[in-house]
Amino acid sequence: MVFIAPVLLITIAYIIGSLPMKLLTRGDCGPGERSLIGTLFMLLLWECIMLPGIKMLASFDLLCRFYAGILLILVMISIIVCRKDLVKDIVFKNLQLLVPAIILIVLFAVQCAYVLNVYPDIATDYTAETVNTTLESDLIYENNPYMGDTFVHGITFRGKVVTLPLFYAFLARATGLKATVTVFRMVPIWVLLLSMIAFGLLGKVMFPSKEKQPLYFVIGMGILNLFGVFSRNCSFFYSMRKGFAGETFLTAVLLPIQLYAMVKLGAGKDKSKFILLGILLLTSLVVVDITKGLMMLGLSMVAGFAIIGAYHIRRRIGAKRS
Amino acid sequence: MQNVVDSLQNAFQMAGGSVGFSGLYLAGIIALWYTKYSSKKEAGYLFWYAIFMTVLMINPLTLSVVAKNFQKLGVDNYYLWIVPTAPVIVYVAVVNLDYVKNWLHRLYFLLGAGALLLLAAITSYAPSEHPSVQNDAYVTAEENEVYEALSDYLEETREKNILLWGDDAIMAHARMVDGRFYTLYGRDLWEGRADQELVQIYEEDAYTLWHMMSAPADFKVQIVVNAINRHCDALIFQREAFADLETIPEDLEGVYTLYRETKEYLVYVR
Repeated sequence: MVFIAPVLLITIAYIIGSLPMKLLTRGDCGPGERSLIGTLFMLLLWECIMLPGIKMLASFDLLCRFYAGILLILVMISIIVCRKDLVKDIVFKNLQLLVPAIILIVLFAVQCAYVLNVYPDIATDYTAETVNTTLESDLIYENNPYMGDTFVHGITFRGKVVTLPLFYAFLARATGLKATVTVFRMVPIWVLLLSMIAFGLLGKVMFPSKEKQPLYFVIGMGILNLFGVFSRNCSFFYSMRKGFAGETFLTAVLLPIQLYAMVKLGAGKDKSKFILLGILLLTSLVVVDITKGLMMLGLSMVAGFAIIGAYHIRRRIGAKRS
Repeated sequence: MQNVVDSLQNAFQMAGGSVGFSGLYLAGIIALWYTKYSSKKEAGYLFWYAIFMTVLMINPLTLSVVAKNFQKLGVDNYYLWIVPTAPVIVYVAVVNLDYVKNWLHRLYFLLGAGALLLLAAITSYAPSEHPSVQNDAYVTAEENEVYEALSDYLEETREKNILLWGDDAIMAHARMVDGRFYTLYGRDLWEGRADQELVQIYEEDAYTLWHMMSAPADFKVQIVVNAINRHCDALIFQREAFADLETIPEDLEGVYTLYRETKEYLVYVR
């Protein structure tokens, strides 16, 4: 289940993501982008359900069922509307990519072996406690995760906005896995897969009209993960030892998607990437605190827009001169 | 001035995660400078983005602003992760792979790259940083024996939950293992607040209880009396707390009964 659940999650995300991509890009995007968009939509939908639920002191179980129901409806609608696009993506066409793909699978297996067998970095973390507390009490952020009883003081609203640990509680309930197995095994594997897809997308825009180089790019990231795990306070270390943390989701998944969107905008090919950037900013609120997420992503976007703007101005000046 | 230079050096090292990776990143930026002149527009974007973020993040003003106003970002120097170390290193490596056509040269390139990465990585290698998982509860085998005993007790009595009191190791991980295990205080009592958004202020009593349990051999009676007053369902003592006695007591004050003995702990239940 530890391996099946992440694949299932990404498959559901891929099906759900096909629907908005069909509307925004007229179906002109690959399965990777659809999976990532679907994942972002799932997290945003989760946030939209959780925040009012927190205010109304709703039952966590009820909200989980409501969320699962909406996901099921979205999957069915997407299968009906996008069935041709979904079938088109299933076929593996390019046999030249077989060798790099096999290398990537082996590398992924080695990373998974590390994640499964080495103790994660949970020194200042209480995600598993939050999952257990939510499942046991059926309340959302009302009980102290360290003690179990209701809070004397509580979690601030700013803290409650980050609903990623509650999403893990939903996954634990849906899969039947223990909180520790969900948080320390299943989720890091899920984030690793998403990270590979995100860096694959980035590789595609960094090496346009090349087939193998994007895969080599992803292989390079996997190798950096494995070597970087030796170095404390390295983002690769966090990918391997703290894959469940919102910070890891931000740097391993959201940041590469943002870089991909910025390069696409720079090429002037796809204005729908503005919408993607907006979705990224909102999703950052779900996964991590506002200063670590929204602020840093916003800063990165400002830098990206400044560079794209400078290139556009230089091109126009060059065009006017000629 | 020396402090400023040291903090910039530290920040640059942290941006890569180690001296080695930061050095590779710097070399990568220089390589990108040449690559962008081969009409690779994407290399140009990455180059200017890397320069912009490095200069923006690693300068005395940013370091002092983060230290004073954004403590959350300062934890593990999180603000430095926006510097694109990984994309630059990997992009430069993949672009250079294109220039290596001969399979033997490709092998040399891969071996060289591997050696370089290993050197970059082991600058911070500490074997103790990679302990193996002992069980799927992610606790030590000794602690797991205690939690299994408590789970069995809950199954037998069909109680919904159990209020327990033990040493730091037991209290720190109880709720990570099972949501039915309630504790008198959490590990934030002695470790400090991990998250500024989680506000838990302990009464003086809680600290007193913690001090007692830190030296259980000296406070056996007081621990039992306090446990009774606070309606604890389970008391977990380290074996050495009863080292001064010839035999391990089967009950404590007629309220708690010895439920299970493990290698390191004694589990008493009401």
